[in-house]
Amino acid sequence: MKLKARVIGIGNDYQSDDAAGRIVARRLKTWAPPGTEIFEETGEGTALLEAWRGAEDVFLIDAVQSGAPPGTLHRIDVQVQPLPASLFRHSTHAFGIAEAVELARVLHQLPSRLIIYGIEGERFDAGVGLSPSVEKAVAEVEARLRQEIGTRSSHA
Amino acid sequence: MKKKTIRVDHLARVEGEGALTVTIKDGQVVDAQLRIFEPPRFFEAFLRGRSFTEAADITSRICGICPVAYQMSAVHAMEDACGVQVAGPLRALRRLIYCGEWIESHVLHIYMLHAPDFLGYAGAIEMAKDHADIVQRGLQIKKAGNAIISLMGGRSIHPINVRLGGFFKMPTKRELASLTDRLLWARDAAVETVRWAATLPFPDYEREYEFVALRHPDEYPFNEGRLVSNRGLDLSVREYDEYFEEEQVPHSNALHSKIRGRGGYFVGPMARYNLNFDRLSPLAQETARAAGLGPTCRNPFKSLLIRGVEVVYAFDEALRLIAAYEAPEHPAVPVLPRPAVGYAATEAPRGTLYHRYRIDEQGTILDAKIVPPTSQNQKVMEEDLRRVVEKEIDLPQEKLTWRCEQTIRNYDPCISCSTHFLRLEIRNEMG
Amino acid sequence: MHEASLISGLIRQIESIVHPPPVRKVVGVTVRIGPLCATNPDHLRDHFLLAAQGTIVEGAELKVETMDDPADPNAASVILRSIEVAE
Repeated sequence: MKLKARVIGIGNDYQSDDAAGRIVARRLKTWAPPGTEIFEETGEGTALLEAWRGAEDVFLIDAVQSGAPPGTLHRIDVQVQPLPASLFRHSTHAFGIAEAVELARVLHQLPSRLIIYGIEGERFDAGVGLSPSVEKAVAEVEARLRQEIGTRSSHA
Repeated sequence: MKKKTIRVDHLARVEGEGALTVTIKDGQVVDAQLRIFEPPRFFEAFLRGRSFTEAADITSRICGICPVAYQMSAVHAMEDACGVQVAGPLRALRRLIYCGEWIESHVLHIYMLHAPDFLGYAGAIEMAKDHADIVQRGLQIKKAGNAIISLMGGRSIHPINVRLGGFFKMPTKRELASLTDRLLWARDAAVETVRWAATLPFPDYEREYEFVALRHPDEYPFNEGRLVSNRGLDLSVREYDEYFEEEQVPHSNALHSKIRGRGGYFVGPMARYNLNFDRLSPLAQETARAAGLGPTCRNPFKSLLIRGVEVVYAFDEALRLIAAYEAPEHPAVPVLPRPAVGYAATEAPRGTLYHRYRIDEQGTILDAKIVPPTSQNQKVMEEDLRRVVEKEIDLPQEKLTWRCEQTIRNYDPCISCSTHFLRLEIRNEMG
Repeated sequence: MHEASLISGLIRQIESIVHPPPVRKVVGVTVRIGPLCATNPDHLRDHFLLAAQGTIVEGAELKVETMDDPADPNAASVILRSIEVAE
């Protein structure tokens, strides 16, 4: 039997598009197939090390700010490539997601598969609600995750 | 006209996001500025029209690292407005959850952010390559703090169990006791942390500050006390606005706090420690002395050590509270709204966090004021930066930049509630 | 926004490098961008054109080299390769 999959949505609900990752996680909660856990996190790095502990397949979703057009999706397989720290320039923490991934690599605490979906945000100032382009991207990530996790379950 | 090509091969700098700018002209520091991003302003507006019961939950979202501090300042301010005082075991449980937050926040700062600076590593990742065991120890201690928050708060991030008058659900004595072994281990590890941290190379830098913190008749301060300073300030939290003011500065969208007629002041672990050394537990005092700290410390770089001492205290205090706990009959006392203004200051990991709310007879919030610790420290941070650069102006730019970042880290500026990015720019203007 | 701050930082960097006379004019600037830096040559050139006005690099040509290897340590960066100046 396949080991657990875990979806971790990251962000802050009160910093506009920064909420994107958590909104994806919340929407998946009503759908998740058995064996899938859905977490929400603020993005503080050491808490992430705990959040993915014990899971085999981890999907992390966060809003990013790399300069690409808002709504752009980035998909990174952490085992295959290093996490470009510049992608998470907007991280609200000095020890954030990129640091957590690289620290976990050094300490041998990476899950065997860690996929990161980065959603390019437009606004990160204090506020509630997503920009239209980010709203669209959220729906797209949700659909892609349903497929990725669904396919994974059917092979179980 | 002669053409020539200069080879550079340097990473392009990204401008406009620097949180700190130091301008040097002819070998003199002409300016030191922090640029600050401040969500509390947004929250003040957002809270207007909301119910007084919602403030704790809403403001706790301001900061992912210190949600408990925001909850505590909010509930105490609302209870002040409504004339309610929470006592006994409920009060003790509030201290307990605050212990958890100090532990998590301080340990994160010591191990992941500040110590690597002192050891010459770019960050915790590089440090972990050489000292995996030390980084692991930090992660384990932090986890013990998290265990307190998860149990008390109902979950590990954004605790939801705190409410006006107390909690939604109380832990049983047995649940709390189940933490004991883990906290005992972590307390030893925290003592070890201070011993280790005392060996770090601290720059020789001291200056006179006005330290401000809460002071309580018999406890090291979390939720209650008078606001005191080493220069004679001694006032009730209700008098805060009479003695402190916030001014707009052109280079930042944040407000800088100062003491009326006096100027900048210092809040945070070093201020608490200097004003309350006699209220620390014997073990915490002993740990401080063994690390070479006296009852007063004016070297902000040593705030790392003081954070370590506060972690020891927080474990000690948590163990004491757990041992003495008897579950109260009700998880909360009733809090009924009345038209009034409520005030509270509590000691967030980074320093005093002030909340003030005006509510009407239905409990609707008419206005809110939130002053986070980092905006109170702005002025002393800028002054420290200026002095550090003046003193070390002969260092190569790269080392100087690093020293400046370390200087700002002394204050553990809260990245999400006050400063945007810890990225420094030194401008060397031609004379 | 990202490009704008990148370019203004770049121009400042160039100014600090070529500032002392006898340099009279910067005629060309070469940068190299990594595959993960999330910008593209046209975008960069537009921003450069805009930001160059009134600075020492006004009228200079921006050459953008691209790099394909995502495993390169500078894959997410922009590198200022060289500056062509007239004296």
